[in-house]
Amino acid sequence: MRRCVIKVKDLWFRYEEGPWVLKGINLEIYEGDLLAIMGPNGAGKTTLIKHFNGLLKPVKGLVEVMGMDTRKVSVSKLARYVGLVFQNPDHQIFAETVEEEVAFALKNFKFSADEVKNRLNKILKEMGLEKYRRRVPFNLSGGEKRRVAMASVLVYDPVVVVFDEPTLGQDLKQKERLGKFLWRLNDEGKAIVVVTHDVEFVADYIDEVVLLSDGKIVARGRAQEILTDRDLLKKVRLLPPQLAETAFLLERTLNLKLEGNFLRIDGFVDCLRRWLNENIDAKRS
Amino acid sequence: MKAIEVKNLSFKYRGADEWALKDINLEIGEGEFVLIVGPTGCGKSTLCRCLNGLIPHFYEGEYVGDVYVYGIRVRETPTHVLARYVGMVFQEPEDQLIMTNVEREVAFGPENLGLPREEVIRRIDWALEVLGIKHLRERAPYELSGGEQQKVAIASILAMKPKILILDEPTSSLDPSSAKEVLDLLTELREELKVTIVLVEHRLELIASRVDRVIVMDHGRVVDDGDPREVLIKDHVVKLGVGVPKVLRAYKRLWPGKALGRPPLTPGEFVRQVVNTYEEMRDKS
Amino acid sequence: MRISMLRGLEYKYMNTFMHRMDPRAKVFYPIVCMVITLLTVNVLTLTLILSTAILLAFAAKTLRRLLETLRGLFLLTMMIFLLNLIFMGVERCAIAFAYAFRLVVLGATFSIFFMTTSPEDMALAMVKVGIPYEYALAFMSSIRFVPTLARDLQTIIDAQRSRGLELDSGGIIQRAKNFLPILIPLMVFEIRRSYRIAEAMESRAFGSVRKRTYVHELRLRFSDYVFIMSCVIGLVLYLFARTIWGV
Repeated sequence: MRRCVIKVKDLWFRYEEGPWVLKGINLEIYEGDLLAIMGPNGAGKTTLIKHFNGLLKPVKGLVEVMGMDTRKVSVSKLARYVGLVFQNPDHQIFAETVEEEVAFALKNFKFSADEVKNRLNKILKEMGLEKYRRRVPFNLSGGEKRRVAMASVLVYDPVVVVFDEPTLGQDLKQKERLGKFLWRLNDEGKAIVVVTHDVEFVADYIDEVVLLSDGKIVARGRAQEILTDRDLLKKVRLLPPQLAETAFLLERTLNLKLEGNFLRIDGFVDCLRRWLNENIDAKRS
Repeated sequence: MKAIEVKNLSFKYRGADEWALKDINLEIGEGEFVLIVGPTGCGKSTLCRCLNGLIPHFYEGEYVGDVYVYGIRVRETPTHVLARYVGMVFQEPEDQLIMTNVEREVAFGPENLGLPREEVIRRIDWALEVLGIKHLRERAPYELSGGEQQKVAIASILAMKPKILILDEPTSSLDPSSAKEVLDLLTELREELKVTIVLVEHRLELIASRVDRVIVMDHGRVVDDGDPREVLIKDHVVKLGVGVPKVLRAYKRLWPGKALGRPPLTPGEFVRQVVNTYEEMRDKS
Repeated sequence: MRISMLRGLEYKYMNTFMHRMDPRAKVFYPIVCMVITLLTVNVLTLTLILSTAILLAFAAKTLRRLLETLRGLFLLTMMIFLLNLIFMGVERCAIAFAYAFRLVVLGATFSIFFMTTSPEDMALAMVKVGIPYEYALAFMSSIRFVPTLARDLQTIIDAQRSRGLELDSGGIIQRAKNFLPILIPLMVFEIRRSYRIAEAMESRAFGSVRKRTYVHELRLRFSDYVFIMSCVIGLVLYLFARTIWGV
């Protein structure tokens, strides 16, 4: 039975006396979920995830993390379970060495010196950062800094890991590495939440999609369903993934309905090849 | 005379271990729309900065070879003179918009050039019109959406009437709809104004079908250069991490090695391919 | 000290006479008020000045923000009041209060200036007065980027708290140390940003011709001179009152 790690009940939020940013959000995230929160800028995506570790507290409604009411618990305590990897690593890098940077959270959470040493070694090796151990983090390349930022969150083994726009400005290979890395974390049982616009990335690597628009959840479902719903996507100012658009046009011009998961290239090629064979053979006979 | 000539250009940033650019030789003709692609760190941004004089005048390092803009030797010409010929738009709107008012922002460049007051005013009106943002004239840039901000940035460069427009990942921080708007606008501008455009972009699915030429870079070198459909279909380009449109990759898998009409770069083009194939096969049978 | 306090310094475009006034005239108001404020410990005088600020804020449609700023200053003011009370003794309560009140008045009068003058107009005024454009622009940019900096600061605080940093625990020394993971990224980030801004400006021919064009012009009009005169008269009247009644 999978645990519910984050439960959001009728969440309403606004900054001071401003307009409502979140308007009655209901959401449940379970261990092992791999989900993307998508929506236009200003929909409230970042505001929503800041509630997951208590940085923001609900104005109305309730947010529970591992059963704890976020209004009653410190951010530090909640952060232990929900790791938040911010968009820009430059917003958090401050230490003189990569080692120190990655160990920061461990020291804050008062892990023993031995634990710190063990976890540090483990994460640096897992993320290929061992050779950068003594380097100054400020001077690393963008991609390396991003890995350091991720390592500094993963080092304390949170149950949920939330990524805010992790694919910005990344090339295809980097995104591939990231996607597979997310799969690995997910296989370990972690709940992974990715806030992103990148429909292609979600099409390739993420199971479920939650669509947020104007402070409300307008849809939740499997990526295949949501990303092929053109009207829905238009409402939230998202462009359909290329292959979804292609599938739509194929249906319209050739009455060619693709079945199965065709958002990924492999799936698409298989589906189309199957259709072509079936229909062309049918035509022949 | 060529708009841009790059001859045996190599550059190493001061304090860097590696050469950022290695022996680049390029020519770009007037009115060409060139797309530069390549994995992160390949030298795309560095090359851009060599074209408008930021290298070597703003960034120090070892500079070998030469760059000529309309016959003007970049190495010997100060950036502010080159700014009359080459305009550059950067990734982050926040780093480019320095005024608290759109009109003044667009005025900044022409004012710096010392043009007569009436001319500056004419250019502001023109630039706002061309970008379709006249209604934003009195607004504060920080109130605008990312897409609107980038349009203001482009307007403020266009107001200087450069003959060459360089854009270094202008849509990276934008949501997909805004990115599409900006890139569509760029294509229109190109038609209307006949400027030479050099664009560095990852989101190939939104623009590759509309450029004249694609230059692929890797580790500081130009590794491929030519018509988008001929270059992007090559295996080594995808392997580098270039975001080749999925329809093109699907096309390669479905019809490997066959010269089956024009390699598609958009869903529309792909569907046309399928229609042709289908009709061909139907006619055969 | 809340970020909302900074709102009292933020410029917003509106069409009121204060907004339209040439900064070179407008600046007389806070300067005259500052002179009077620092010369007096009479609570009545200070109240009078504060009421002019409130009146002007009302006319400039910025009253709500002014009051928010004053509310933000409240804590600081109370602290100064108490400190002065301790050091000067309870009998000099009125004077202690006056010292604290001064802060409120200074804040209010300068706030009016900043809320109704765009950074660009301030820069133009500086150029008209003879300050080189580069310096005026630098001054203007620092104002323009305050909200940006505030946002970055908040993001950094959020990022570090998300890694367990606790900002409100521990003794004074510990709390000071806890600010390093906030200050260091902020400084590095903003310094790097300033390079990016500089290269964008270079690309827009900044520093080009000696004679730069200015599309927007500042011209002192009759009403501006009237305003300046009023401020000067106000100062003279006060100095008069001071010699006669020692206010």
